[in-house]
Amino acid sequence: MLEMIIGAIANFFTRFLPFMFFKKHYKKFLFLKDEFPTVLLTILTLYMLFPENSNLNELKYKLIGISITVILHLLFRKFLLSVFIGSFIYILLLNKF
Amino acid sequence: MKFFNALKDTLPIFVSYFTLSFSFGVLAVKMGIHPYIAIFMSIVIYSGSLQFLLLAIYNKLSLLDIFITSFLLNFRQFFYSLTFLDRYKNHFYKIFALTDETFAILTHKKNDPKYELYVSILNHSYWIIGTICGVVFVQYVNFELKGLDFILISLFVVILIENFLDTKNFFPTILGIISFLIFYFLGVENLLIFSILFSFLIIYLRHKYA
Repeated sequence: MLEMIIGAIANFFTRFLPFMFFKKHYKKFLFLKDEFPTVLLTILTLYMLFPENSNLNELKYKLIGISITVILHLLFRKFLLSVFIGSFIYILLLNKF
Repeated sequence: MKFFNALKDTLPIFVSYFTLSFSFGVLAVKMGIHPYIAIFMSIVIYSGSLQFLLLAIYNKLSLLDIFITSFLLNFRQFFYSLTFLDRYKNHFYKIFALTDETFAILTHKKNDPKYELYVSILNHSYWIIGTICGVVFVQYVNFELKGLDFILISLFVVILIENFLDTKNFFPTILGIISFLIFYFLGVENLLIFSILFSFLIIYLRHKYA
């Protein structure tokens, strides 16, 4: 599984770069610190939400699942609760129990 | 004594790490990843969002794109390491094991090498144990469920909400949406990489000229 090893190496870099050779130059990258991770997360979320061959029904269920996740999280701010109940409802809808 | 302190402080992490890595183990096997590779990932990657993302993209993107996306997704860890530069000196394992949650526990504590090591090892082992249990669970409980990978989407949505509640800053989310939509409607092939690079450019220009 070359893909996973590549992912692991990329991950290693994020954790070890400051210790390797960024001690002097890290200030140049500080501008990425606050906003870029959120931008990236937004893009990745949309990318997974709208795959190339998505059908309309699936998309509808996804939006329902996400709405439930968002509402639960705004109400309780319990990370596991929002993630799992939102996913659970989506999976129920998709598999039509 | 320090070990028991670490055990007590990491108990809440145990619950979330175990549940999440358990789901990862189940999902990985369901998506056709070999159980040993799933466990291997939890040992050497040890990052929830990246491991789930890899399941979603590993058979869709080129190796270079996988590298770039993984690197950027976890780029925040760069800043955790940076914060701990003096504290950790060159301790290989502790640097490796500096996840969001470990960082969150340790950043409010005084410098204490033994305690740091215990917290790191405990959190890492919760993550690995959860994965092993998930992987074993699917071997025995065979079920057909579509849509398990939705966990990743709702995981990301929750992180986004937390982030927004923290910073009250709409800009990054809006920039992300616009970057994605531009290339989505243009129908370009490397949608992900193009929208990432585009938003990177905007952030850079904004930093430089605003």
